[in-house]
Amino acid sequence: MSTLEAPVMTNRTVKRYSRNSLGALGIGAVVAAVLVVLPAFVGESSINQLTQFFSFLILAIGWNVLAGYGGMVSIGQQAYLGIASYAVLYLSLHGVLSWWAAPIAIAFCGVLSIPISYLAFRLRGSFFAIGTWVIAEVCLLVVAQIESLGGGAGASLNDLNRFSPNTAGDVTYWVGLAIVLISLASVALLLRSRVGLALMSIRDDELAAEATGVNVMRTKRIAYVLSATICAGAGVLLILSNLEVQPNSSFSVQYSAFMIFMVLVGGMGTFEGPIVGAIVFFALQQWLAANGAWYLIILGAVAVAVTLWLPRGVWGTVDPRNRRSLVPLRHRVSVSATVESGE
Amino acid sequence: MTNTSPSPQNLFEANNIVKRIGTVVIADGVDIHVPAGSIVGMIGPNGAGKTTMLGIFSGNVKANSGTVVFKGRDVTSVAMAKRARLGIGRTFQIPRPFDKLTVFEHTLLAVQQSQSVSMSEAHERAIFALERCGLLKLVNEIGGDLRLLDRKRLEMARAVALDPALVLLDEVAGGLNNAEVGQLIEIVLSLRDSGISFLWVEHVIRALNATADRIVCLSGGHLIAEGSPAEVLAHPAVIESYFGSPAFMSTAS
Repeated sequence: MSTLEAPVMTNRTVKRYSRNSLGALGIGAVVAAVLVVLPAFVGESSINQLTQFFSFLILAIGWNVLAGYGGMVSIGQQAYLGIASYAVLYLSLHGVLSWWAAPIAIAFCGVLSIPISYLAFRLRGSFFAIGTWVIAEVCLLVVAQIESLGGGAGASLNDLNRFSPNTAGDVTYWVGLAIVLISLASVALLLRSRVGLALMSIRDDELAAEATGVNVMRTKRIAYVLSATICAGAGVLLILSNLEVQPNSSFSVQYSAFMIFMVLVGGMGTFEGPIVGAIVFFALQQWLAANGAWYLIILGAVAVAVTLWLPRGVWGTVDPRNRRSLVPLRHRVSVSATVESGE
Repeated sequence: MTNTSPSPQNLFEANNIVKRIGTVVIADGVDIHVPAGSIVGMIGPNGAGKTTMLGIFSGNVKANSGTVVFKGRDVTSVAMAKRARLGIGRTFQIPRPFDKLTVFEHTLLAVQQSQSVSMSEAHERAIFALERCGLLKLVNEIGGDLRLLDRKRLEMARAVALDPALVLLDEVAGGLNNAEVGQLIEIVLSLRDSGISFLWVEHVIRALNATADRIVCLSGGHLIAEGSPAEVLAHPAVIESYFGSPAFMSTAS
């Protein structure tokens, strides 16, 4: 990898790529390229369904950063989902085209999450989880008071009506695809950085991390802000595809249940887990959509079954020690030639 | 009364430390000094508060009063993570590995947090710390998978990777067999020779006998003895307090 200057005899190289990961990056690039041109080949309803899928995938990615890599179990990430939806609505009412409002709304949530983190981080463990939920409920109650944004009844997003449904659907799909790709890339970059390693050390043992020099609060805050920003991406996508918002649904704790389901089923704290989990969740949803209450009953049964028999989730079972990861996030040291033999 | 002016020959000074937990007095005006390049052992009966004292020195426990001076700088109000970056490493009595990180990532983390060096240099230093603590063969293992001896070595390696001037050891020899204690002694001595000082809390007297320049005995909130290993271990108050009175010895298992 580079010239050795330390007083060592053997040749050690630290690898972050494997054949696995290079292949996976290639396949990922092909899949992304296919997804980009897909609207030219498939019908509008499929595109809209994929957009819906993207919004769930983004939520899973956002929750996994926080809980899977940062060890912070939040059940209040819907706060950022709802605020982002409403930020898009607000901007569109003030003359900003909704698609352009999307990045502004996402950035706004990222900034807003910084002061909120100071509030939430006063609590730990299960208290943190409940606290984040309370914060989300407070956001809901405040937004429902704002009459210009539709109050408790909600409002619809009208500025995209001047485009044909086909065009609007396609552009929103691309916006969603962009958010998915940017989310995945930013999570991968975070995890490859020294902040990412510090974050995982805090998740595994906060006191030991501190004793190793890790600035715990700062590191957690970075993960929290990234997670909030990603979850805001899902909120933006939901209002762009549904073209309406309503406080009780935008800030619904149900989204937290979905995020937890997807990440637990897919594999918490693995890069691939949220993708697998979102696919499973979306497939179940499509398959059971017609069956009303059975949908939630079966979802619950799947969650119970996975917790009992696949506690690491699907990807965590395939790759329990993070050695087959498709994305090069971890380190492998190869020691070539002979090191001292025996004890 | 409180003399906080740093004396240059001492790498580390804890001055007039007072610590009470409830009604228990851990320390009632204790002074502990570690000269640069030396190994200071700390003994004392169970429950004397040795681990609490290490907490005060490393920064995760607050003393009621007293000052902690490191490299001539008052670090009494400096947080544990900052003290680690300044060069105070510590190990935990019950090892606290990062369960899902590889052995290499443990030392890499320490290097990255404490030293601003290029990535390849950080990799080299992380591997070097493992080599010094005899962990090179386990470099790609997962922290949570290690057995006790290796966990203790990993505690050491993680502290050593901080490039520290002082390492606080908390019963690293406990639970190890004779041969393993021997290996540990060699590791500590070689680290000392490379310039790292140690404050070593230990029940395995043999380890301190072989390494320590000085031993202090903490009991009832005071240092009841202080001096060379031979002096301290022969001190009547130490035998009485630490090893127990003859009546206590006969009932203790």
